[in-house]
Amino acid sequence: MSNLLWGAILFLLVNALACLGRAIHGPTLPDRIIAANVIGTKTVIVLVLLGVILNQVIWLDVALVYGLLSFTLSLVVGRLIETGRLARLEKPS
Amino acid sequence: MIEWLINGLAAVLILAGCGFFLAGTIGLLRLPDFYCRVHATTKCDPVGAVLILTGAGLLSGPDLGAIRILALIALIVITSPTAGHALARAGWHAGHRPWTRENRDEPQ
Amino acid sequence: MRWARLTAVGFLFWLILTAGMGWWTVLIGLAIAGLVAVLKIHMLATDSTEPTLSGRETLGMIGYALGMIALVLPAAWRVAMIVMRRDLNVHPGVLYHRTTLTRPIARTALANSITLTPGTHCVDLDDDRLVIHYLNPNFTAALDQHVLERRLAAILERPA
Repeated sequence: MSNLLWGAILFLLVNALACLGRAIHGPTLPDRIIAANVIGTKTVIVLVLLGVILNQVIWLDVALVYGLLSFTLSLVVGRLIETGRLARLEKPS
Repeated sequence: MIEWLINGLAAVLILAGCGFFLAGTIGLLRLPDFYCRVHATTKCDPVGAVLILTGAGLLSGPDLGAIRILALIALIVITSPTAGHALARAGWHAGHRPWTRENRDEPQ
Repeated sequence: MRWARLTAVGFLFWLILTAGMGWWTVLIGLAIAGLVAVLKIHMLATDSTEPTLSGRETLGMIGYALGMIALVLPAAWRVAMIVMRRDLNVHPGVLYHRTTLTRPIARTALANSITLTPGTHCVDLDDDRLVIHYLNPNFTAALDQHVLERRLAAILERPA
């Protein structure tokens, strides 16, 4: 079973490398961010699989925090692309 | 017997999830423009992630880890399509026009 | 009142994740949950006057979400099949769809459902106009038949 999990981890890392190619090459900024987002999802899965192999719960906590941060990154950069600034300047009336 | 069954089911789930991840990656690399790539990432990625996480949850058994894996499944199911939509909307408002068969010669 | 509810939800999540780690983590969690709730209300203030869902509507939406799970698997499968084809037979484009739904939550649910159905993806939601990107024109048939809209209207927009 452990072999299968290591194989899956290796497979996902190769996939993540391919996505990194899109992040480097991708013609527009949203392309790069969506590639980074996909790499983030794969990283979460790799962390979980490592936690299962090594039988340590702490990896799953790291995966949770990583997933939340990756999501926040996508939202913030999406907002940056959309409006050109990171925060709302004035409250809506 | 029952352990053998659970391991087999987990292996099938993990392999299927890897297949969906591969489809997502190929889509990200092959599809012509940003909006099409969002299709690949918002559909294939969460499905693959949920399959692999379910398999991992079966392997780790019902303990503290399983709760975290459930939380992770909820997190990915909610955030992955939301992030894709936020980025697509951002690109749309930033003025990126979608690629079609007709305007393929125009620069992006 | 709202901050108390938010604090409770955040604290519950913290308790689940830190089960069995000592009494001081409980105290820290309570403090952080309260802080997050207050910050959330102050920084993410919305002027929405949307009434909260009734119990029946909540149940209906849960059932609807479960039905969506049955949709997303074939959606992922079909996208995977398209992507694997050698000639990559996609004819992407954009269409504008006017919805008859009026409640913001119903419109949001419709946009998310369209994202989950195969080959279509909601790009923007502006009042009653949805901007939808499709991979192939033959995927938009389900959208034209207003299947999801009718289902949502039955749950959320029953005439009083």
